[in-house]
Amino acid sequence: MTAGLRMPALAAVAFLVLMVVALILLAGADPASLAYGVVERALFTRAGLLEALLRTIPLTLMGLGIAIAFKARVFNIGMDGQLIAGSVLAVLAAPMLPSNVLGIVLFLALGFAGGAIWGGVAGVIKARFGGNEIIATIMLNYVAVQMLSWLVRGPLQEKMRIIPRSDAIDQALRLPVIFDGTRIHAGLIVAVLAVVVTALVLMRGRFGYRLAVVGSNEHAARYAGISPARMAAVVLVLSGALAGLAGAVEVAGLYGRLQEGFAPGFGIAAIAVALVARLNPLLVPVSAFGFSLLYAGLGALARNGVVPFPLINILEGTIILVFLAGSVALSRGSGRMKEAVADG
Amino acid sequence: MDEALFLSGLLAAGIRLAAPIALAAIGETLSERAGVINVGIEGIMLVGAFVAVLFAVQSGNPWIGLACAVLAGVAMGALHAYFVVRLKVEQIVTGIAVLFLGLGLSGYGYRLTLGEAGTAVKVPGFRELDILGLADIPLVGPILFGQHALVYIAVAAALLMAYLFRATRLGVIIKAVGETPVAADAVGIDVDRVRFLCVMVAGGFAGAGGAYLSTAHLWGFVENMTAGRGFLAIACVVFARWNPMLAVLVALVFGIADAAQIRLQSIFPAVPYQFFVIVPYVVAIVSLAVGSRSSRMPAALGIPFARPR
Amino acid sequence: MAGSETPAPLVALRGVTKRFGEVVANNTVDIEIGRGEVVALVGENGAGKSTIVNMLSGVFPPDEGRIEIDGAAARFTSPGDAVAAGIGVVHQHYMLVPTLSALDNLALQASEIGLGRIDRAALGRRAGEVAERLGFSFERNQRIDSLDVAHQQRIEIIKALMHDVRLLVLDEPTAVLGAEDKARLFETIRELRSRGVSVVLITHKLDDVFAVADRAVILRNGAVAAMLAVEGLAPEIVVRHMVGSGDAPAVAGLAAPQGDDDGPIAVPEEHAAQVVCRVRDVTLHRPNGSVAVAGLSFDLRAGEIVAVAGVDGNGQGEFVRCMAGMERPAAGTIECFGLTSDRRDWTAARLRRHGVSHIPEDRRRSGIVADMSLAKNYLLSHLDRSDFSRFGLLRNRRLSEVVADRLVRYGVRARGSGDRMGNLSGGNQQKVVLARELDGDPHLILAAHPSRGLDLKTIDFVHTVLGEARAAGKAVLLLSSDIDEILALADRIVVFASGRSFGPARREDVDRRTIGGWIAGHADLPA
Repeated sequence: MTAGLRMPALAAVAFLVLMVVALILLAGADPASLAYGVVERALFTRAGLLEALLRTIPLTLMGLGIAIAFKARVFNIGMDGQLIAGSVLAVLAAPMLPSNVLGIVLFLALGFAGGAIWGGVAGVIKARFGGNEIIATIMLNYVAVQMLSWLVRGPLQEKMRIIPRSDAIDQALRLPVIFDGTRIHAGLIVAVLAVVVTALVLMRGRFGYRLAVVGSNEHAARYAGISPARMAAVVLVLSGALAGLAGAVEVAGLYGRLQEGFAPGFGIAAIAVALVARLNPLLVPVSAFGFSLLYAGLGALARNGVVPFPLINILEGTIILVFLAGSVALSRGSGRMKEAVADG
Repeated sequence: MDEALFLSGLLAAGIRLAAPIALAAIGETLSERAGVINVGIEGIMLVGAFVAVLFAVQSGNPWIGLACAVLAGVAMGALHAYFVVRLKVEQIVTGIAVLFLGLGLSGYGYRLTLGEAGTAVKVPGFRELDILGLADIPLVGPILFGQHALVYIAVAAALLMAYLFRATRLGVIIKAVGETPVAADAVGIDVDRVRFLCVMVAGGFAGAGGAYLSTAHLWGFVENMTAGRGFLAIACVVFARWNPMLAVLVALVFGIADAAQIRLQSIFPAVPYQFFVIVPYVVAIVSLAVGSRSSRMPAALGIPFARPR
Repeated sequence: MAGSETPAPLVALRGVTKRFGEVVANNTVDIEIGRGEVVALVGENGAGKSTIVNMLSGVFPPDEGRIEIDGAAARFTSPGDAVAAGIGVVHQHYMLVPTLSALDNLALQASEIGLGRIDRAALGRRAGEVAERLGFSFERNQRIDSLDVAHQQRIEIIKALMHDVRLLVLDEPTAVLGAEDKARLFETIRELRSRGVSVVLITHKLDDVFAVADRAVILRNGAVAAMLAVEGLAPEIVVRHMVGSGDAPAVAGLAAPQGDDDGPIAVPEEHAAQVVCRVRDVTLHRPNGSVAVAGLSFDLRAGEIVAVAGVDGNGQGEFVRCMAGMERPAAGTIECFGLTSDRRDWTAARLRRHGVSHIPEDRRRSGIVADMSLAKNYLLSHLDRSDFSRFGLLRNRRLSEVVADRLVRYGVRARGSGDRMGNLSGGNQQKVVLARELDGDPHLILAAHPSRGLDLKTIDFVHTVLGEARAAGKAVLLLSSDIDEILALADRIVVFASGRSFGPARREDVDRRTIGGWIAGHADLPA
């Protein structure tokens, strides 16, 4: 049966590519020069490359969180909310932190904890009450966005009370720039560490093994004494924590303060990042960098009015679908698609 | 009397706000009963909302806008179905991609067309009906006789679907396809075709829900204007245990919560408005915790069908 | 081929070959089925019986050769085509929708009534007529999952016969039936034959062949090994054709001896004294909430095998899952190793840590992770073993060594411990599960249908292994619907039937007929 799916899968890829081309033409742009423009902006200009690298940091952290969750077939699509929760908790506690390296570490740890709590709410709903995590996490997104909106207009608003944003955090808590003359900050190191740890845990660890069992056969997991519900809760806490960490890193590394919409669409992008990396933690940073280049390049072109910016969402959706169809087209005809699929 | 008026107004507004959620939930009920979940209906609703405004403005007739929104929804549903039914790939992941696509397509299309001018376009939207002139009856009039046509269509669709599942062979086929597809296949039913059609119809409903938002509830399109209603619709389906009439009632709860929070904002101006805006979402989160334990889920939901060897 | 002289058979397979990848499931099979003839299709698991069923019912076409009906080639592209050609199939796993009523299940296939409103009264009348002709009664409006398997089978047969059926294919229909239901089924088959309907009976039990069949077609390794008239046939001949010449390992299990003479191994007394689990006043519910068993009480001791028997769907599965900590009884308590079923710590993880191992009923669904390696599958029950991990990281090399050793010891046919579980045959998968569950010195082994769906040699192996576990002083709870298996293995026997439990009785105090009577729900043997 699988062999018979190759042509339909390729047809889907062709359709999607044609759709994107048609949409670009509709905007009065030339697809080829647009693609060239994106590459040129992102790869061949210093500003574009640095912007992409800067964006790779949070996308990597969040992509790792998605990889962990999706591997256990827990669909956390509320990373934006978890990112907000993490950064809020860190900023709230920032005045109490020591003004040294320990303070920075604690700041990041608080971000981690804040995201963990927000993810944990969905985790409890999933584990304790069997509530669907997709709905829970997305609802918690909306709650987090509103809470942030209130905080930066209310209790946390800057002393001047003009712009809806918080006061800047202590300069000593800011992540230092690691390459002079750029804005690339020590968050890059955090991201690299996160990749290493996640890769070890997922690919070699006992925890990663349990996670994979839950993700590939929930029943077998239950029979082996692994509780899929508890696993889902832990996974939501962990992936939320990584999103929260990303939030704290963004605040400490880039903005220095809390403001609305400071990581626009990152939660969504992280899903695309992780899926394209095939949930492999070692490929997540590569995929994150790729998407960041796309953002940087397309963002620049959109600002110049070449194409409307929402094209980025279209591309994210298309890329995921092309990957799905591609994996069908590439799966060889010898084996059937997946044994698990057959039972009704 | 004041309380009665307040409640009547609340209920009437609740119904208005529930309608888009209900429409999407009815469609999603059908699709999930057939074994396919579409977490991308939020995206389909957005496309529906945009297309409805676009064609309503072009043609000057909201009904044409609605029809186009339904067609666009069906097309988006077909895309989802092609991937999950034909290519048999992961349903949730495809749904997420459909969500991104809908988000992108509606925003992109809007900025290319109506949003380009930068000024508000006059949208020929739907007006509330006044059935037999009874909408002016105090208290019950606005609730029963003064709603948008789509509200009545939604209720009729839910009733029809309840009848479909209870009494007809088509309903039995759809339930079998979502429950035990091998059994349906063994008696010669084309499982994939049934699923494909159900997902397309569900897309149409989501498109109509989006059209309601942009041509009945508001007269105009705003990017990401669905604000999670597509996901609320999925929540409705779960809480309603895959029963279309109950799904409408659950949607009504969300609608009333939304209507209430708008009113509460003006009653308690001292309380930051954000605390009221989150009410429907918190209601959904709480009901997830309270109302999720159910064994009625279609057994084959989310599982692609392949003939056993 | 020479159809001009004799009338063409109703259905014929001519040189049918079917391959799945490398595996040849059927190799140039020629079978003819005459009108009003009952043909038994016998063979071990993996002999290719199910493939023939699937081709006859239109699930997939043959790769080579053809299926003929009334001498004309028929091409089935879907199950609907087979139905239209007058072939009805009762699959081994019933093709019923568990959440729908019997009538709605019948409506599902009744394409002649269109897609609109179902006239349930008329449909009920039609089904009632079919049932009456067969001497059945059945529940029309109850959900299928609230009925026991024998009842479900009746509904399947009615479903198949609602259409104008000329050939009825029954795939392992007796596998899950008690003695009484089995007898009733044979009566039905004879009734069908008398009305000119042909029947293909797929089975691996010789009893079935001799009870109703006119002709036996014996399959081995996907090819027809012999085609014999049943009258005057000796069971030994059938067995020899089934297993091939040279080795006939478990003829005893197959030919179903009277069984009173092959008593169990004597149990050492010191083991028998140790109570491992206490079951007290346990009530179990079916998934739909109906009472499956009430008032179940017995002790499970070290060094004995207690078998739980009965028709599937009478609470046996629920009982084993309760014992394993996956569920809790609806009432009453189970106590094992100081853990009690009404406390919070009655979980699968806890019980496993105390030495409970579990061979699950549905291997493919719950026993294995098809996408993972054999080593990772083995790890499933040994994650806490200290030498398999260091600082939370797995020691894959150590694991591979241990698993490779087990593969040899259990005779698993696989490329190595890194082979994907899904690539193995069912029997080899089960061996890996056995190796996993018997390792690590368990005190209690829950074996749910450990030999279901396996070939004779593997069944033999499973029995040996369980016998060794008993000899080593382990308590074994065996769940089985196969009387032969139970009589061969068990020290004590409990039967779940008609909402209550019978026994436990010592193996030497009961015979096949008593057990059969219990399974049929009679406290005493029917006259």
